[in-house]
Amino acid sequence: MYQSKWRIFTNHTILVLGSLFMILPVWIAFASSTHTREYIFQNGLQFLPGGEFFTNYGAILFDAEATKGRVTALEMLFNSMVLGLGFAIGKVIISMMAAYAIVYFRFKLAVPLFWIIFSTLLLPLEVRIVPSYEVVANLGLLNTYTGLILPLIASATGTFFFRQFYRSVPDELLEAARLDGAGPIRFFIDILVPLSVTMIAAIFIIMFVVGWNQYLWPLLMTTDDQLYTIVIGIKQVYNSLYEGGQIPQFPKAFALTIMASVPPVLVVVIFQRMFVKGLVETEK
Amino acid sequence: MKRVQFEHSAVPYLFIAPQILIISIFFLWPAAQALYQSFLLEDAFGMSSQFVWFRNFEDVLTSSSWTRSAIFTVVFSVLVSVLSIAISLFLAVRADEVIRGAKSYKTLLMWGYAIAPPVAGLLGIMMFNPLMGDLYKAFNSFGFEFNHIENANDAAFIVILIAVWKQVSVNFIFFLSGLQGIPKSVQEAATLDCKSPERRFWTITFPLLAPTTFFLLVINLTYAFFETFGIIDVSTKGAPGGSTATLVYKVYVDGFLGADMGGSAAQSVLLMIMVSVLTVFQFRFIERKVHY
Amino acid sequence: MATVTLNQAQKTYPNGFKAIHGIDLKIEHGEFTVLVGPSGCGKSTLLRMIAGLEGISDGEIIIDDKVVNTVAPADRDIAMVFQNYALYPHMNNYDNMAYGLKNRGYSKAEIDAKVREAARILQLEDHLERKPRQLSGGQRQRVAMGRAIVRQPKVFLFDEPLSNLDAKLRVDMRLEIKNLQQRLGITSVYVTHDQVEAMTLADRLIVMNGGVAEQIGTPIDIYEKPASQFVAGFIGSPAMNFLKGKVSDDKKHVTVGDGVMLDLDHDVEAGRDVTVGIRPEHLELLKDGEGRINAGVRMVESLGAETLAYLDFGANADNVTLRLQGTHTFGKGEKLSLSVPASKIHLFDIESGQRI
Repeated sequence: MYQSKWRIFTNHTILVLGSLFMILPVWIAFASSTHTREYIFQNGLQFLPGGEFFTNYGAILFDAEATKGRVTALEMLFNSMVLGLGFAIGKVIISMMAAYAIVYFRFKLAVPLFWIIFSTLLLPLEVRIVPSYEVVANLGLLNTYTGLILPLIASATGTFFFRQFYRSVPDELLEAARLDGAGPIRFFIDILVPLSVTMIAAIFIIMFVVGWNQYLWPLLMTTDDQLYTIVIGIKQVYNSLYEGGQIPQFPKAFALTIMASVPPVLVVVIFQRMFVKGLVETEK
Repeated sequence: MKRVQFEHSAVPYLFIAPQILIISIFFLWPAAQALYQSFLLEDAFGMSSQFVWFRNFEDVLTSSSWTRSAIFTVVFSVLVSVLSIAISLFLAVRADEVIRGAKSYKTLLMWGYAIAPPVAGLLGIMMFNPLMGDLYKAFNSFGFEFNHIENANDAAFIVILIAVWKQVSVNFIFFLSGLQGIPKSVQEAATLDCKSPERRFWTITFPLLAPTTFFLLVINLTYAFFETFGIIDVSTKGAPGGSTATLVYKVYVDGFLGADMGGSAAQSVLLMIMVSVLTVFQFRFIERKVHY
Repeated sequence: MATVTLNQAQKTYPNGFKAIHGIDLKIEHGEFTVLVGPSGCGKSTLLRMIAGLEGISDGEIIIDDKVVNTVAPADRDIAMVFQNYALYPHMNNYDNMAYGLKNRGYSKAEIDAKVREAARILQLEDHLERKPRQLSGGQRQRVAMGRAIVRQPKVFLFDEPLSNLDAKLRVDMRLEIKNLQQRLGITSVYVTHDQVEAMTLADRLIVMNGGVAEQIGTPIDIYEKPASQFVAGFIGSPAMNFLKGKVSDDKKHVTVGDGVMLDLDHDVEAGRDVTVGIRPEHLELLKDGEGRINAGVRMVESLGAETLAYLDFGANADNVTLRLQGTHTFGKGEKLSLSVPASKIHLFDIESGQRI
């Protein structure tokens, strides 16, 4: 389509500026994470990387001391991975099953159960945080992976997503399957699930990122630092930045932010199409 | 509804059970607790509690700190939504037009969602760090005396900036998708009818994007209300003096750090009412958005 | 009213694909020119280049003595009717037609007069307050034309405007467009893949293939003297029959099939291998044995006003289509005897496909 040369020029300029706006903070964090803390303290945040990449990153990955606790960044990354994967897997399985029941079956409690699930959209975790904590504590699930993951799965977003998708699947498929002698469980496993593979992937991607980035809930219910996720590690480092009268550990703090961000960002960028699909569908 | 459905007794219950179970234990029960606790007043040691009807609500609604927090939350949410939508729309329109490098720009601009709120908060507060932050230095070099520790507006500025930064990606993705939904031939016809790209945008593109914009407004307001907890907790922590605490943050501070169960629960219930209104609004009015 | 001239217009895409190879064209004032060809031949691309919606890689586009290569589409004084109407969905039909005028600074009164006049011509007066989605396909296409008419541009461009309409509507609208254009006298360029539309609408026809203009001429010229095998096979339905042939030593006959000799009306190089083209409607059915071409009936289609017979000819059972007026019944395998006048035989070079 027609575009004047000026328009093309301004378009690119604006997009480059926008990209810089997004990228610079992260880049500066990375560059600053590769210097010594004295250097940062004296010269401020850096645009260019220094030579301390391996020292700094190695320190926080393998030396618990560097992360102000008894846990290394490596262990925290592991915890984040467990949370991310567990959350995504749990979400996918539960919502697929619940959506299947709602869409494909006519049963007595269908309507009230549907509204119960819908109601979870009305009260995000942030708002019922205190009583949720009490429930988990009473169940003895504090400081466990189960307690970390299960309460987060309780919301309806995934279910609505699959519900919408199932409704778009042609009825003829079910009719043909029935003629072929498939019962409801067979139909689900042999036909519906394979059909949903792209949808499952999209939801999985986005839920992994959501799980990885969880903050409030892990903050509250993991007091045992063996269970800290990398995102919680950020908070710890933030709290201890200025302690002890020493030069603040800015580079290591930045290194932690980079490590907390790289996996989800990579996932989102590499699986861009699936991520966008998942995002667009779940927000509706 | 599906034309064809199974008539089976056990299977649907089996399938829906896990979600219902989890919801019952980890949602309904805590939600009911929150509701119940909002009517209680506990003593200082958490030993006994007293049913006080709506007194907690009264206290909360008349407390100046809650009112201030409410005002801040509203202002914050509106500003974050409007700014984030404006910036991302601006970028999306250009990204939709460029031919060279379209994919690259899209990749460079869409990943913000993957950054955790506390990480964004940390990045932001570092940029404004008095000792070494670039933005801090930049502002001061313009003669601006930036002091976010003491000045409530400066602190608010930081939090808003961080929240906008993070949300631009999400809005960008939706706007790009909305723009691609406008038929190319309609845009071409507009090119023949109208020379100025700006004018074309306001008379053709923007009206056709109205549904997307309304939708994003609701999404953004919800985001600003709830998902900015992490940003605040790792940047200003609500300082100075609770002036950058959103209502959600306040629930946390009062309930968890302050051990005011009743008051915090009452705040939760109030928040729940607000969300319900927003959600109902979204489903009712946005679903009936203008269809061409 | 304007002239449109193309001087060696070319278009190459960034990925290297050459869509248009050097086209020269001169369209006179008020002429209705049709670009016709199969999918991918470049006809729409060429139209869009005239509009300015596609850039030109080399050569010139001149509207009324002004080179418009770098002129913005909105400034070229052209109007376009799109295949899928491209009406602005959020505006009512009145505003759709008024939009272009509004942007050009006409007064409200002028706009109102022009829009109402166009609505009158196109019988849209009752639909002005409605939105496009409330209209049928044919009505929407009229609104799209109205949007073009109100501008009273120098050139009308049509990009397959009737392709999305059903068959009956297409025929009606075809006539309307022709009438309209003659009435308004505006130079028009029309793109279609339908050769019937092309033949009926065009003052002049451009047959395109693979980014090249294979022939430019009046519809009748192109029908009677196709410049290449491609044009011959594209224009005319059912398509022309093609047979392999060899020119005889006396230069006055050509042999096809199993030694069937046909008379030529002019001399051709002796012994040359050629492709012989005969239109189905030019084969004459004679009584048994009287014609030189004898072929067996494979299948018959009776259309009422005419009959199409598909025949097997020669040792290789080459396909020959016969078109006769009226209804004829033939048995399967029945042998028919045909002849063809020398003036209706077309010869094409066996390699280049060019007319001999």
